[in-house]
Amino acid sequence: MNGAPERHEQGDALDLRKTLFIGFGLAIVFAVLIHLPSRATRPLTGALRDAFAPLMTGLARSQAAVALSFSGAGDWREDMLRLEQERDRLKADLLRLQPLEEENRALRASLNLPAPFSRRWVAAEVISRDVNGWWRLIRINKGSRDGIERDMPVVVGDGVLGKTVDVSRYTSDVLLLTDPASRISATLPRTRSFGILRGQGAPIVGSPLCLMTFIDKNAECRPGDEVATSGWGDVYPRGLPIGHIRAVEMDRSGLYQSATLEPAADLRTLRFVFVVTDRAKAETEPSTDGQAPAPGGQRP
Amino acid sequence: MNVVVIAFALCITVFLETVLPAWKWLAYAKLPLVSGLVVYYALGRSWGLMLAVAIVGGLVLDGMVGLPLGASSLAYGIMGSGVWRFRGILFGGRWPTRMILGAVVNAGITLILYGVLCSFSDSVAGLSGARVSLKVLGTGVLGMLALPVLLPFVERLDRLAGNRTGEEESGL
Repeated sequence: MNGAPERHEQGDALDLRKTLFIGFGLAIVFAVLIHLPSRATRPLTGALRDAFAPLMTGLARSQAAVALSFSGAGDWREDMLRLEQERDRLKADLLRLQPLEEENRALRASLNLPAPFSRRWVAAEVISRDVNGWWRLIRINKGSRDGIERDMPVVVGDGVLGKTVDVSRYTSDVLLLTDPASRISATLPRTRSFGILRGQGAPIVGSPLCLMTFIDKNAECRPGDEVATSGWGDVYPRGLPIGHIRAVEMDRSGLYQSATLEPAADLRTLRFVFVVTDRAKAETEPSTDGQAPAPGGQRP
Repeated sequence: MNVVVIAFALCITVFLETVLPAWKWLAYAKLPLVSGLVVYYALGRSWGLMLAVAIVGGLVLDGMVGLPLGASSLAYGIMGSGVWRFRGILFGGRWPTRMILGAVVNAGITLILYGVLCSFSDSVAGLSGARVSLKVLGTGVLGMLALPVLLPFVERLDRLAGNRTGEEESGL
């Protein structure tokens, strides 16, 4: 008598069991997939990013053009004039510094000192900010084709911005120095003391900050002191400006000082950045547009 | 034609979700669009098709935004399955219910993603409870605004492609 409803209930139970079985299987597959090293997934993710890169570059340029059109012609002319003046000043600096560099090179050669580490700056355009909303990443439109590799420093005119963390053929993701996962070996040139710099994330209110820890407890640091890269470690060359100290305090352990630091680079208005590449490696790559030698030809 | 519509809609939503800026005041929440597509298929189509959209959409989005491959697929799959399972009782087809559904689904996806990403990144594991709550709330709010706009758009696309007829009960 009740055959049909029973069959229906059995079918539902089977469907639910089948759904649960498939769901459980997929959950296991994804648990494995999520934990695969990025090296294994890079061909797929790189291809995806490269496929969308021209669209993203086009959109970023359109946004910039719209922003420029809204900023007004008066500002544009003023900017042009200011930039021309700055260009002339930099040309004069270059003329003054070139003989000094040659002299320095000759002196180092006569003393049998090794040549300073040669690097080249690759200019790139920011095509996406806050890429995933979870960590502080920006994406630029230059990749392995332009000689960029993972763990290369990225700078703007004012100072260090971060380092490359994921590189595809046409794009690179840059982890900003304000991300909590970022670590930079830093120095205070005035007091000649060292420390480790890590990001403090992006606050909802106010500008992003960094924290410099393990500063010598006897060092006389004060607000306004300049902080630069120490050159220790394989990523950042020595002497790149990072920012200025905002506040200093002794750690609770009493063993070292900690300083809150404001990055020199304005992270809110990024459009063009430079990736500091290893010249020796980059010179083996074919020459491409947008690659500029470092000011003065070489960097420390 | 299903594949064409899914591929087209996925390309647009993934691209927009990647390039649109995060909302600083909502703890850097991003406008959730791919999840809207998953909800559309969960409400009106089979579980298998919904799961396919969740998996492919999640993988493509993860590849684009630099998240561990499969993290978003897992979150979309779980929330999509929930919507598909209870679609008969939780959805009325009017815009207020779409808004509530958008908020709940996207808040859930953000929570699942947070759980998954905690084991991958110091940046995520170090987030304060208030910050995570704001992000969950933020994604919920953005999802609440995005879903009612996205559903009719995809439905229209589906009809144009001939996957739905005018008289067919859409469930939306």
